[in-house]
Amino acid sequence: MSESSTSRRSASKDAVKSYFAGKYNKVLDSILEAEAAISRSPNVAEDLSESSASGNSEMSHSSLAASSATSQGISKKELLQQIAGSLLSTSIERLKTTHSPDGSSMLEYSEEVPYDEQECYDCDGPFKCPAHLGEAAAYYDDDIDAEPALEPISSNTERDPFIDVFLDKLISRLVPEKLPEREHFSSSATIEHDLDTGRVPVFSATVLGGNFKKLSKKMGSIFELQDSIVRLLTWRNPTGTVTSLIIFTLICFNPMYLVILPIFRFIYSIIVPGYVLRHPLQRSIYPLKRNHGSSLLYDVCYEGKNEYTYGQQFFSKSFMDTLESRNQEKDEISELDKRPENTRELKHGMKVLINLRDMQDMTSGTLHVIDTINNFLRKASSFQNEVLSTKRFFTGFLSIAVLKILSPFVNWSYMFSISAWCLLIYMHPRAHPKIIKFFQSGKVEREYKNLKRKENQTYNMIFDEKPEIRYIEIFEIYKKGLLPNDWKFFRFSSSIFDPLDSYRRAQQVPPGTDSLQDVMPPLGWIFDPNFEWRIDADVETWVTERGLNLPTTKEFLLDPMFKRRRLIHRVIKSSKPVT
Amino acid sequence: MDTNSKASVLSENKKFKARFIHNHGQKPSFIQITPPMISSVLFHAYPLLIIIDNALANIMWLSDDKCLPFIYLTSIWLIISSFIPTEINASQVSPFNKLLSLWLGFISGIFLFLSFMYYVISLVTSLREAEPPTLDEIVVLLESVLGKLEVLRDELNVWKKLKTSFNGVNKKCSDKRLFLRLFLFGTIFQTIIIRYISVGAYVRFFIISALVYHSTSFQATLRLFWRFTLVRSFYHMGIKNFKISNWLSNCLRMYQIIILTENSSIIVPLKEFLPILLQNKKDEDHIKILQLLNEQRNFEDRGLKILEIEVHENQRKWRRNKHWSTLLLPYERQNFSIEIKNADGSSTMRSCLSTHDLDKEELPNDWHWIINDWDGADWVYSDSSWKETGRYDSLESFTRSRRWRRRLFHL
Repeated sequence: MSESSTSRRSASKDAVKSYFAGKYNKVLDSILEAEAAISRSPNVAEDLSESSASGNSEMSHSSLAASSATSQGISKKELLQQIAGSLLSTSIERLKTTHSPDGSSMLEYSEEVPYDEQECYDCDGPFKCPAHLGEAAAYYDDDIDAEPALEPISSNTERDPFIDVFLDKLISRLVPEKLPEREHFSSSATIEHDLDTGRVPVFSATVLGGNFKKLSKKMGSIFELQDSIVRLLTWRNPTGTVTSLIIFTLICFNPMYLVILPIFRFIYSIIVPGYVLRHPLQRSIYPLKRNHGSSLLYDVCYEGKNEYTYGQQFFSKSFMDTLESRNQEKDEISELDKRPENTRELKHGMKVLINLRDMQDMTSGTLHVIDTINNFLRKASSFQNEVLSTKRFFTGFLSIAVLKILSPFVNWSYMFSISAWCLLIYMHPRAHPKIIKFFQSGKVEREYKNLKRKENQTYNMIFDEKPEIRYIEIFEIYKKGLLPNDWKFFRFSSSIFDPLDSYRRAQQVPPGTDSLQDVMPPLGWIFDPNFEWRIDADVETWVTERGLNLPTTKEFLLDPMFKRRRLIHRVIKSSKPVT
Repeated sequence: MDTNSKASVLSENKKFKARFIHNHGQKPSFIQITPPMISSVLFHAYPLLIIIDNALANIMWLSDDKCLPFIYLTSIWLIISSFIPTEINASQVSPFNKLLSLWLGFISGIFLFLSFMYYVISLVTSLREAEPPTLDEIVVLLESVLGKLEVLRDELNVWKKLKTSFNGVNKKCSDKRLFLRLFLFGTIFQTIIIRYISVGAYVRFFIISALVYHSTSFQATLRLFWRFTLVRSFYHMGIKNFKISNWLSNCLRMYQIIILTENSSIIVPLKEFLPILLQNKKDEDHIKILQLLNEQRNFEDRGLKILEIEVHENQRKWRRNKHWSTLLLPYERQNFSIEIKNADGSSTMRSCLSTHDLDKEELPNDWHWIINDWDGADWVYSDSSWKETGRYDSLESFTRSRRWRRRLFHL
């Protein structure tokens, strides 16, 4: 097996080597070896030590450090760590090359990589894939963090497709062939046809990483939007706030504006500026710095940290930015290749970093929101606090009824627009405390009233549902002594311990206890305090129910070695739910 | 390839880029050359100039913050709607709505007034605190105000625009005629509008459009709409529809041309002209002319009527990089046109058949071509409204025309 694989490997090695001549001389050896090792022993963890040993012997020329690391007797945990580390360093090495495409870095790269790849080759068997996946993601993280980003997209595939392909292959081997699919709008058959490979979509670190990278660059506008919304809601851009309120009012009175305004915005902030840029209106207008005087609205409503700047990015700026960048692109493309390390790149890298941080914040924020919602739903529905949940139900029901009855009499346009205005005025940082103060003036009196009302409310509700009642059983087992009528207490157990019982056949003590005090009710139930343990006199019933064909006495079921009787107790379901 | 690019860079380096002429910018200081009296006046007018400049900037929507002018616009809109009923049937409006609109108008009015006052006061206080302006600053501000006013004037001068846009139709378009047409056309149009829209809405519409008229977006909108031939045709419908001759025929025929242009013919003595007439003729035509002369009695004393017909061949470029097309705008001169002098000395362009088709036409009685072919001149290029740009095609030229001449004689 080893020989044939070696010959095959050397053949393919030659072919690929001629293709990548001079570029990957040293990398190639180790990667090919790793490939061969994987193909020899897919998904077999036991094969690991053997394959590593064979690999070890063959790659003595590649790297000493690597061979020492892969020597026999590596634990699984160690291996996982190594894989993680190796993939990380691969990514870092890869980064280095993308930074400096000249020959010097290539050398460095090719020296380092065999170590990584050789470690990678060890990763074999299904238990490592999570580590792989995690590492793959981390690797792209790093990539994005550090990369100054202005490189053309194609360069990625041009520079080292080999590593990408290798990584993807590795992962596709480790991950099960068919992952469960998500729902699609089109039928699955067409999707499969759409793909070039004809296969079901597989997991690919390259694609994921690429997408993530692209996304982090393009998320900027989304966060900008978020920023502008926050700015509007906090009155940091008062004119924008008032304008959006006016627009909201318009929409309330004529929902057609929901369609009209986006089209209007598209025309007048994208098309028309584009036209003006191409065919200037030829107005000779001086750009003047007007810093004398200020507007009433701005001074009254403005609340924020930044300086006095008229018209913050609400309407014009973000769109002008896109326009600007669109025009700059043309100029810059030619200049880009002349100056690979300009300040813009750094700025861009910083932008990507900021976007990444925002994305991280966003994901944690989303998780927090989901958690909060889940918590609320669970609390509301679980009746842990009977009074609160009942109240919630009642208020909910009442509000449904009232709202339904009131709805025909409501003028929605007025209601929505007025409430929006009130809400935003309420949210104004300077107005907010005043309004609260105004409403809190009669607070003491109201609190007293509230207290009284609460007292009354305690008698508004009554919780007298009958609790659930059930019976539990336990078997009191006696062991036969030496004399015919000599029975010794053996155990309280929930199993009958008849001759066919598994514990008995295994000659083990059945699960149970020696004292009746230790017997506990099932979880979420309590013993009825008005009920003692009672001996079940009706032996025949429970014996026939269980289909046992054994002699019985008054209370006991007998077999040659043991006798047992059934004790029953009444239990009541506690109001506390099982968590 | 690398060396090539280097070479091109080198050759680029040799070339030198000229700069634009700037009308404004750094200028010698005015202090020495300005009399103190004028300086003092300018200094006192400075706050006023700032206010005017700001007002103009607001009218032209020049500030970075488009929201503030929008809020002012909304306030004005509310004020107008509060005291001019916009619904046709005032009785249909509920008293609550009436009250609300009145209140909103009142509030908006107060807001606008207070904003203006606040602006003026804050301006004065900030000017008092700041350093006094230099003369250059004041002059720059003055220039800025003037520049804005100029832009406003240019944009408001619809009359001039109309006249230039009518140029394509006729070379001469008198103010009186234009006014008459616009008046008639506009009146009909407005009567129709007023029927369906209340006066209040109409007034409001005009005030709001006047307030946004000078914004870049509005101007760009107008220009973009002007690109559509439908809009232009609609605009010129007034002219087309009020001319009966345009309803009847589109292209002048040969006999019509001769009738219309006969006034400009000249009469020469036949005796002197005959040798020239016969000079260029071939055998058959030679005989033909002689036969014609033979039919006439005592032709030696008679004069020969000679008429020169000048047909313009017109073409238009519809898009910047497209080829020249024989298709022209529906309201302007067509592919072949002829200039006809009116009795009052002005001239109109009338479209006629192409030279090729005119050749095929039978000449009316006793009229004969002197030369067998049309004599064509070079193309003359002109802009979209037929204003001549020169003899070479450039990015500026959207139309071109050339003249075809041919002479006739009449015995």
